[in-house]
Amino acid sequence: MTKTRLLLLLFVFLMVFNFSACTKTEETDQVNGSQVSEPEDTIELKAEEKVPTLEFWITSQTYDSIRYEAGLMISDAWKKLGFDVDVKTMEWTTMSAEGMSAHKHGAFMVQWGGKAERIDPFHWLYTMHYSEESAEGGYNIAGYKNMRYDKLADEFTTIMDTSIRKEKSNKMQELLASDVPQPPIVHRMLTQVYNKDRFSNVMPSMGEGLYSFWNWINIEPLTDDAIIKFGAVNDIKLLNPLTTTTGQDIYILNLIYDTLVKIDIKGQIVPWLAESYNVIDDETIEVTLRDDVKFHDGSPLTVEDVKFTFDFAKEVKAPYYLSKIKALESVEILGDNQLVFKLSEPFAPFMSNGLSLVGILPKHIWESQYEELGAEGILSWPNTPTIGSGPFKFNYWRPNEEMMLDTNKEHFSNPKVDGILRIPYAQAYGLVQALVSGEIDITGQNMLPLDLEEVDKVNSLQTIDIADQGSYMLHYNMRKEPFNDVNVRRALTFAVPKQAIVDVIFGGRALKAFSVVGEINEAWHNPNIEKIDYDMEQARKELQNAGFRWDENGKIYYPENYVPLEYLD
Amino acid sequence: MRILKYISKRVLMLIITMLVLITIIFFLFRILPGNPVSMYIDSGLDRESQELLLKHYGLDKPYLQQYIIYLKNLIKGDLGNSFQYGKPAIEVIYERFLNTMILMLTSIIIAFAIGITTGAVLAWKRGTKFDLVGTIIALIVRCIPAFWTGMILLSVFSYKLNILPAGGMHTPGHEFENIIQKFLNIDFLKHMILPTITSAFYSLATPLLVMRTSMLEVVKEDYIEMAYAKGLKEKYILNKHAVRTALLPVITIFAVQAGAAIGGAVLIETVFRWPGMGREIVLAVSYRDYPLAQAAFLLIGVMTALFNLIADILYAFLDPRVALS
Repeated sequence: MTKTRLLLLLFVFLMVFNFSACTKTEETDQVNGSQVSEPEDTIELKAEEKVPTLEFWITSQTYDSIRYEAGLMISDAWKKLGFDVDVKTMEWTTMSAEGMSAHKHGAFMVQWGGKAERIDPFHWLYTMHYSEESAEGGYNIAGYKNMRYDKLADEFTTIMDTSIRKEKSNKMQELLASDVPQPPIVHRMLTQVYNKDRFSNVMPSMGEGLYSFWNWINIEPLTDDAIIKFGAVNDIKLLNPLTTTTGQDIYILNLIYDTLVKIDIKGQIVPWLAESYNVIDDETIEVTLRDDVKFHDGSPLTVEDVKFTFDFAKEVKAPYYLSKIKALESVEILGDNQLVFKLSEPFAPFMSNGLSLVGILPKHIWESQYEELGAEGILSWPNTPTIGSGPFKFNYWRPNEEMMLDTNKEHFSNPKVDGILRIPYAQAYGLVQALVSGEIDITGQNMLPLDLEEVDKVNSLQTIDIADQGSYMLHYNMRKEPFNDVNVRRALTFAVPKQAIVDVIFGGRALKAFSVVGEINEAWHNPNIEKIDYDMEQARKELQNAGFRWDENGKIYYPENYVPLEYLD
Repeated sequence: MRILKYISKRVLMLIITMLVLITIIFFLFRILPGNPVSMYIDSGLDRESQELLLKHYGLDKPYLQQYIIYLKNLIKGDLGNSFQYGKPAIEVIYERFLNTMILMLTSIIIAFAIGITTGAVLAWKRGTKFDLVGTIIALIVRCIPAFWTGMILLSVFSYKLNILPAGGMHTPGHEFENIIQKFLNIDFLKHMILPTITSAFYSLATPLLVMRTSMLEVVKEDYIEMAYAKGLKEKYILNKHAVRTALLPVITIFAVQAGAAIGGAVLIETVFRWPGMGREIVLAVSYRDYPLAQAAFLLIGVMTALFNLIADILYAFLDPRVALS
């Protein structure tokens, strides 16, 4: 008897709850509707003229809470403009494959890292926006195909003269800021921590923070224990530079192998293994090699090793190296320490995006391994112990536990520390605790506001901030309606609450972004561009001026006799 | 003779199960959207390099061809190279496998030792306050997530009292030359205490509750009453007559748990930075490292099946009726 009564009560309760939930959604719909409805609009709107639903992909909250929260804020603003928005939470690998690679998205956000080689804005301006890069697998994710832009991009890439390249870069940034195919939203502040009682003279860079090569070369110990314990999230994957794919591996490989030139902290190209270099013409570069460099096994590094590295990479089709030296035709030895690089076509970023990333391999080791393993086998060769010529030497690596690098005391740029002990943690929280307890001295991991509260309690820990030149970008898909229309893209971008994202999601530790070339990249950033910032009035106006219409529920419809305008003139 | 036939039948079934498992795993990972290159795409590999990389991984061929190649290599004992680490998947797994086994088996043995004894005692004292409180505690323990226990232990013993290490398998910078040195030292044992307790605590309740239930069945049996009637001592009846019979279902649970333990405990490994299989499997799946993921799941499958086989055979010996039916 009591059981049935209880069940009945539960049933009634559920009914009431359901009912109230229903009425609530109806109410909110009405509120949204009344905000944007156009009472004077009496023309009959046809169903086929309705602007299609915007498909917006976001990551899960646990994978990246920033993109999740920002995604929800942005989609709310878009709904207020009258768009239907379908927000889908996706696993990042899937999103990357379907969006970044297959270009099947409507809109989604990507956090682009500001690696040193991207200070020359070739990646931002050419790779991400040139028409030919819009094919499947290319980095022009938006599918931006503007003829005017392409012409500028061609000149930007083939003319060696930096002042002309800057002029072109400025114009390209202007076009992108107004056409908004994939607008940048914010540059995050890299907030990193080190132990100031044990080490000094840290040198973070504008995109890599404390991971920067220059940090490891310059950092100085203050105590007798001169081995720096470096905490990171997740371990490196592999140490074969031919097939490496992750940024973390590359940071380590850059310490073990020397490159011919390096990109300094400001983005300038500086000689490294090359004592000097000379650009003879658009397709020829002469390099003079230092004669005081030895590999970690004691044998000298010569022009033979340099030539071998480039020829070898081409012969075995090494994915990582090949992507950096596509423009290279041949390397010839001119004398004891002289080489000439010939390009198949003029390619201005060859130094910053090519030579600066290819570590020189010891010929005597790789040649014999190649004979033994063949072209396929050499790509899977573990390459441990890793023998290079760089400022740090491989000592040992216990996967998921720790990796030890010793200092190469004979290097021409001798680091001040005695070695680096790299300790991988499974999650950021572990890193914070390890910093607090003194288990590690430094981290390249970005700290969240909550982590910083704990860090601030410890006197020996020092926090440093530096803006990232990379950014969170919102990628529209111009292959799909309505993103093909510049008016829609502009309106959607005006609706992105950039300041709120900075304040609420980043706790103030970010900068609003307007150009794909970050503000901190002073050498290349163009400050005189249109700055599309949060303005709902302007967003609505852009759509109204283009003839877009709204029905009595506030839903948006295409203009009459609609012809989409892809780019501004 | 009967037992031999029973065992061979079990082994044959095991092989068929494995074949089905291999096939399902192989296609399951390839059906997932994305490929191993898509995880690295924001690191700036251009289109041609992406294709080169896929070709290097052998993923440019049709699925069926890939499957045949995989089976051929599998017969030779070659599980392929891990995409992430560039070295044989079996090598990657071997390193993590030892780390996981040493942690999980220790904790499971502790959990079963405590669980079985406590379960037997609770059942023996059935109906008393002692039984009631014990059972309630066991149920609560069963509901507490392992990562929570782990974090509480960490915050007390590592962060507050600072007497035990906060994670990892060794103090950073600790060097050793061989496997024996790796596991047989005070530093390692210190690092093992908290994760073992956490894991044992988590696996404790199941054997305890199963043992208790099983014992409750047994103590109602006539032969227990008979033993009392014979005037045997209570302790003797408990140990020789009741516990032995009641152990049968617990053995099944042990087989299942030990098999599953190979997969490691992702949460415990994450909280304690333990370089084990669980974390590796999660990475392998999210990086679409097919060979590594396949090898790991195959290993879990084989171990689970193997432990079950052992349990089945053990059953047949402990209780001859099983082999007869």
